[in-house]
Amino acid sequence: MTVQKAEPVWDVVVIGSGAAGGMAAWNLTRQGISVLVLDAGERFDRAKFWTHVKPWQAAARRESGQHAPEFYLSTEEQPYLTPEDKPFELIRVWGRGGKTNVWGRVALRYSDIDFAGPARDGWGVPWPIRYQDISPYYDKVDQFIGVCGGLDDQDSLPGSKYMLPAPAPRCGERLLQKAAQNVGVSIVAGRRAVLTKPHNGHPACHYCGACGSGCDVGAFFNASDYLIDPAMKTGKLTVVDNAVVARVLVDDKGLASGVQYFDRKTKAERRVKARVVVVGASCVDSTRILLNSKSSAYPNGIGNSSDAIGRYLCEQIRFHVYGFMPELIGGPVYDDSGIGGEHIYMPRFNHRDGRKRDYLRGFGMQFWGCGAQEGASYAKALPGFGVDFKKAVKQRYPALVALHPYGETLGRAENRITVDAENVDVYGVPRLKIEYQIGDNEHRMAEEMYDTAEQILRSAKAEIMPYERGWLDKPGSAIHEHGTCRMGDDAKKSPLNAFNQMHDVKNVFVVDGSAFTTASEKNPTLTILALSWRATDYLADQMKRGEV
Amino acid sequence: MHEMLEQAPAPVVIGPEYFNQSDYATVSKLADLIIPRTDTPGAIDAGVPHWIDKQVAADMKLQERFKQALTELSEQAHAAGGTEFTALAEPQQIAILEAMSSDLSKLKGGFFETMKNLTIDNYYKSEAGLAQELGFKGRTFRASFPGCTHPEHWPAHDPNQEHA
Repeated sequence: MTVQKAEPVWDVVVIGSGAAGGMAAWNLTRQGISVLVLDAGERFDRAKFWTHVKPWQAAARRESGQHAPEFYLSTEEQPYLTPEDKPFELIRVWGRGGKTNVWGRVALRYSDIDFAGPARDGWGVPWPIRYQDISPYYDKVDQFIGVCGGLDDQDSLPGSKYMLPAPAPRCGERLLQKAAQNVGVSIVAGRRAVLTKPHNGHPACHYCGACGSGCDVGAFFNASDYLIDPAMKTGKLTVVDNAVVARVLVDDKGLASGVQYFDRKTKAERRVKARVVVVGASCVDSTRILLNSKSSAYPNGIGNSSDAIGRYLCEQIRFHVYGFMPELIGGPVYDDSGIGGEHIYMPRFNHRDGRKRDYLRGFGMQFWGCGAQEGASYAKALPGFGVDFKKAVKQRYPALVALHPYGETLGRAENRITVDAENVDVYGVPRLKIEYQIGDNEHRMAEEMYDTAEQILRSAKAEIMPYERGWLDKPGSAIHEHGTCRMGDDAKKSPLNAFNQMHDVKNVFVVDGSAFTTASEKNPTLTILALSWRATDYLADQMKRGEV
Repeated sequence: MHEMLEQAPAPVVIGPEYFNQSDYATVSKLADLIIPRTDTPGAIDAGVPHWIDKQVAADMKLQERFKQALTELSEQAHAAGGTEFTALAEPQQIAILEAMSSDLSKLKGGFFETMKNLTIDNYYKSEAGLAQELGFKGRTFRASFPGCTHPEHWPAHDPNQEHA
């Protein structure tokens, strides 16, 4: 006689360990719920980051055969498909904390102008929540992760009383604020998840400006140090590394019963059982998993009776205009590193003047890259060569300002992610295909975005670097994918309800950017954290009541 | 006006990986003409030819571009002065480069742009170019960040300061 060891059944399996999955794991484990996190990679080792390696030292290191830690998933390992005429740049980080290891740290709250957008203009489906539903969670997130910012809220940019001190703007940023003010545009203090003083056991920023190489002390929010580590301490969390999830499994009652994944090292197939599955693998990978989770109950993917999963993909449009501030040309050079990236932000304003516009929704503006940078690629736009050229480059070094407007993209059914059964990955799982195109509304909005950038620079009497008006970044570049598993009250149109729970499958929750009903013009991470916290509070409550 | 350093740029002693000695000398001279030594180091001091050699060695498209352009440059040099580009007097070299950089129809995507961009990328990430010439002070530890200390640059009305 053989005694078979029972397979464990986890309370909750969480797919992904970034902002979405990390928050779910942290919030559930601290409430006593046992959680298994499936992470597609491994922990990134802070001791090996090249944070304080100067560019010339990095070049010498590379020449001697050393490599900086590779955060980004290579498309060689995981190719994705796009039509030839519709390029999409998908940037993914597989590993503990996901993209929060290297994110831009811009931490903006959505306002009711964002949440009420579809209800107001009729495009898309209405958000099932409003600012009052999420603001307590924004408050909790601000206090927990530490967000620095100003006390200069606007109707389009709510804030909180929990902000850490805003870093002082650089000279170029001050001059932009002044120039914008002169044309009636308000540029406020940026809101960024960077610790301008020690916070919850994490050390303060030391102003090296090298956040993109990974922070060597963890002075900005990353889901690995801030969420997964404390969750581990509860004793309720288990993490499986290198677990590339393929499918959510379904039982004969149509409920999720577990998850199928493949070991990234051995390629072996594994299955785990769970009472609840929380999907937080970032918008595009979560969508791939849901669409591949086909069964007789769900022939076109789990929870997809609405046929909305994969559709309504929206990113953001953006472009970049650069100039040199006359007051700063030839002036002193300071260390402008600051907290890395901009210290200021231009909130959306196009709803205020009452003017009827020929496009829907709006745009904001970011300003990373003002002042002395780690290089001088602007020199390529300066004419000539020789002594005069070299001097012209040097004089402009402290004077550079950079304007990066971001505009909302409308969700459209034809902008979609699908999985292609004819094209499988190394695990034999259908690969994802992205078909995405920027539409007329966005091109019309881009006109006013260009007008605004030009107006600010002209008001500053800046020397404007040559640019091609109308040009937009390749889709995907903002790394803000949303909308492919959207929330909404109408189960015929939205896969998720107001608590990120599937209308069709009550024990599946989707908590990343795919759940957003609209993209807005803002960076999504703070809202992902707040939504995931809110959704898992609801889940924990439902589990305690025996509803899930 | 800056005082020029007295000595001419020192010859680079590391052997090239891709270019032959003659082409390497031409590439070095081009880099030197684009960013010369003044009171601060120039492209050769910063090791720019070394890095360009490495980059061309790893890039077939760049190899084609350099092969063709260096042949044309040699022909132009012989037409102008009956000798190799590197043996021309500097004013003649500059004249050839000026012709290359002022022909707007050929400038975009042309060899001068390629050579200039490679020189810029490599010079302004070197210690000589980035730290000594431009004054980059980042990627270090600081206890505080003062921001702009010139009130004349500030906006008249700072909503954040009002609350502070």
